[in-house]
Amino acid sequence: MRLTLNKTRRNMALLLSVALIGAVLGFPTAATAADPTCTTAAAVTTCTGETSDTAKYEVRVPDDFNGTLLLWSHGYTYVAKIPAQIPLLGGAGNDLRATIAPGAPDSMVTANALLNQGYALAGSGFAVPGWNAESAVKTNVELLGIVKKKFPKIKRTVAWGSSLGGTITQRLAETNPKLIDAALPVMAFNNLDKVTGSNGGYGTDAVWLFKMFFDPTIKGFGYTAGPVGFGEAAVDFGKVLAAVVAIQGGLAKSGADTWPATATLVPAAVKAALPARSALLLVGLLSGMPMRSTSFDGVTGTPIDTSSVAAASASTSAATGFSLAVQPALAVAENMVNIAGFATFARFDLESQVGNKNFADNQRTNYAAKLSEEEAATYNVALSGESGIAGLLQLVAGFQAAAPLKGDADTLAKFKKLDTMTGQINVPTIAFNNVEETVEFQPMMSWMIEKANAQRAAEVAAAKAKKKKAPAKKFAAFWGQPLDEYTVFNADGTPKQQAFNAGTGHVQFTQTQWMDMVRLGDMAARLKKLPSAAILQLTRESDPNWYPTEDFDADTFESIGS
Amino acid sequence: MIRALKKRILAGVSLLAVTGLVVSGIPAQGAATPGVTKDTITLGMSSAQSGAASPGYNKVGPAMRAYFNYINEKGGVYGRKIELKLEDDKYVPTNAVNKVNKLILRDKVFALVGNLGTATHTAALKKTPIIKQSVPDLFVNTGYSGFANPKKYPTTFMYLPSYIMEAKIMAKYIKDKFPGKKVGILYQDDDFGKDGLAGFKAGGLTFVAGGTQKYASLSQATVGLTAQMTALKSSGAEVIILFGVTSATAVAMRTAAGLGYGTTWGPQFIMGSVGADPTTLLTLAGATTPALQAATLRSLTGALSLSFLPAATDTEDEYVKKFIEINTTYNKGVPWDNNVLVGMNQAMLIVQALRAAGENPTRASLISALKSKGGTFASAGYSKLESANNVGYTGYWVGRYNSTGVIAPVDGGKPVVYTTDSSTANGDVAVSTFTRPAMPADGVPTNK
Repeated sequence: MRLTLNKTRRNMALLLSVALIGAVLGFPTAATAADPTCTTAAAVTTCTGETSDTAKYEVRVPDDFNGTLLLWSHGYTYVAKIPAQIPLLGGAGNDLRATIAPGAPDSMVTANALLNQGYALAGSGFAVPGWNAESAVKTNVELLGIVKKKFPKIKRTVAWGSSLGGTITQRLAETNPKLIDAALPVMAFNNLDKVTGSNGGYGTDAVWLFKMFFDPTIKGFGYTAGPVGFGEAAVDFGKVLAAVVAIQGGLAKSGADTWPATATLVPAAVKAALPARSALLLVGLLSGMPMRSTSFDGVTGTPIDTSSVAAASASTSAATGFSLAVQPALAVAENMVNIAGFATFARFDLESQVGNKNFADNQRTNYAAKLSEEEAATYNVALSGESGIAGLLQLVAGFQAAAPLKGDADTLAKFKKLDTMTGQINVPTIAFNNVEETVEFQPMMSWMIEKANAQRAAEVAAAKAKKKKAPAKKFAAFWGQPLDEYTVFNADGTPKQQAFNAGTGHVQFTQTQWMDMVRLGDMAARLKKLPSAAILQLTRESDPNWYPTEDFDADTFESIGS
Repeated sequence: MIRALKKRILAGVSLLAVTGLVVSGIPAQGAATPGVTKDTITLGMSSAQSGAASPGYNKVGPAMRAYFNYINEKGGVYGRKIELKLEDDKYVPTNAVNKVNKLILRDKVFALVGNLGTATHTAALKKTPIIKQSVPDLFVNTGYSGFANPKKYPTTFMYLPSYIMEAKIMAKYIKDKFPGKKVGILYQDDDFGKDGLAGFKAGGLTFVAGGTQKYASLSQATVGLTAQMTALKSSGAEVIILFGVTSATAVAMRTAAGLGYGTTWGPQFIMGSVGADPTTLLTLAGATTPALQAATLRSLTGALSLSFLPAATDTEDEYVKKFIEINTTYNKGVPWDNNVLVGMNQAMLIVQALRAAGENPTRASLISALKSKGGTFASAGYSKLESANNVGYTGYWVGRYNSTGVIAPVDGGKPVVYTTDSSTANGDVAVSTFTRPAMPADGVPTNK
């Protein structure tokens, strides 16, 4: 009884101090939001509610809470439900369910593993779908106030999130560093303009080049406002998919491919001389796309038939041919579909936010310069040799001269304002990306590393000038990677479609990797600085899905000509 | 209670930190050179050990290892045994990136040696930390002149003379010995072929109309070369240069036999050095049917080729003789041929480079030693190794194959070695005055 009384007093004192700190820091308390509704079951207290902007949230705190709250920010959700009849993406979008960990709420595997380790989990569904970085940060600030008020035992907070959620996490750390102790931005999307805007860029180039080579009826840019425009995006996605399927079908089966009937801008002579797979691969290379995908490792050859010497000889040749000439194109095909969802529906969203006009422009893009000597050599076979490369680049130059993409300047200016992430590191931060990530590709992470290094250099110089000890390092980068070989084949020799391979696709990490992230983030929050270099390195070397050093020589926006 | 918990957590963190240092062996500042211990030097090689491009080339790495084992039995390099980690990249560039990354980052090799292939190594140089970590990249097995570029690839050293050099020497030989003849060429449509064409152009060699035929690398394995060889026949070319890899030469030769070579059609074939190993050519043909082997031999008989090492069949040559001896004991079951000779000779150069790097070698001292002393190393090569400029050998001799697939100097007697450089500004070629150093006693280098 006494103990209970003492505990209550202590809790009240803590509540008071949290409220006081909240007032001093200026973060909103839950005054305008209803109190959460809480239940306790299976040694976990679960609270749900809505923030003042109507974002649904959820908090789970285990009985054996270890003091660390993990605030998860989920990634991009399309602004409206995609019609059910659209393959792959039908039914997705406008998903504002509260999300407390990667995979949740559909899969609670990671969430439960973290709860079992004593972590408290929180996250919202945010108030609006689409590109919502700034409003989501506000939601998170309010949510933290609610959670800390409700659970005063929280000693430290680690913010984490993936994709757009990585951007939100980083922005939270930039704007409200006192609310969190460490940040784990996973694949933070940044540099909107360099990705989709005024000088071509990944998102722009992939769609524009694909359109010109394979289906000029794809709209791609300048979608109509409202539901009509969303419908246009849906039609475009379907067209990309249809063209990819047309190329992919024959390729996967026999290595022979067909130009889709929709490839009306490509002269018949070119179609006769060059395979569609070479053009598809060029689209990937010129837009900076990964050359490995979830199903295609760029390495593994078709199975060897050992039934006779002659069969072994023929199938060995075919296997090498598949690795060199076909694998990279199949990887681009798979990645193209992955990108297409974002490049159509997300572009519609972004254009909607800046006045429903096209802001993408490729008039000054030097496409020939985007194919490096090394890429030309590496993918020489798949691009059909030096003459194939020359022919295809000539075709691209012709497309660009005849029908360049022209962006509206005022719309572009508005669009640039959506890009608020600065890369400033205010709290111990460990950023994560995958070397074959399809959407948040390598240059986005490279940019974060460059910014953090520049900031660090300035801080060290400033400390030196004042004859003070240099501040502790606050930023580290982790690269995930796929295993060397993972392509598998069906009994008939065709490659098998796979749904997951860590290091590829979009935000694909193993459970071990997610747990590694949290372990390192928790350590950083406890220490108030990064874990030691030795611990970081040990983690990198402990799992083949981590690139074994921080020093990965990644593409940069500069190196890919964006 | 809270304080106690905090203590436990911090203790855990410290323990993890200590364990991390011990378990991962992460080098502390000033730690030993990667890949070098008091007992061993670990080297790495990525090459096509399997797949369509591997025949013949897959013997180079094991031959190197055999020579290293021989040296290890003789005491190693300053007491350290040489270990070679050999990775199979299957001649696929993406795979070469994976393998070289593994060698550098996971296996932590001291140096890379003998990596094979132009596209594969280009990819590795772009996408692995060879340059960033200053990993010595010795004696790459390709003649692509672009690798001898110390500004771009400061740690990369060539072994083969460049394809430009080879083409310039071939151009001079053809102009001298086949004046007025129509010349045609089959080349690989990539950097390999591009280098060659640049050399032929510099050497002033022109090709007959319709006689410039190309193939996409490795397409010979699946698509074949019938269209190209038919076009060469139609062009009326009297001298045909086969400037490709061995598997392409094999397909070209058996195709030529099918088109009447030796009966109704008789051009003079001249083969590039990397595509002319007779053992491999005949093995490749024989893998399919004896009839094809016979057809290949028919095309091979009388063909010319360029070589920068002695003929593997020249058992009077002191290097060849010793290497055959080592091959018999340390590389059992592997038939002796040019590829084994290439590997053994390369390994002997590497041992000398390691010795020249000093008793406590570092990556920097190895590169420095190679630059300053590489040109003096003993080897079977008939021309100077220009390692001061990251260039490999610099000369070739011309030989002719007989009906058993044995090559001998085209004019009889000792080979006449021609030398040049990789400049495309001129086609200057001279007879080499280089004197080859003698084989070290018992095949064991003792240089400093």
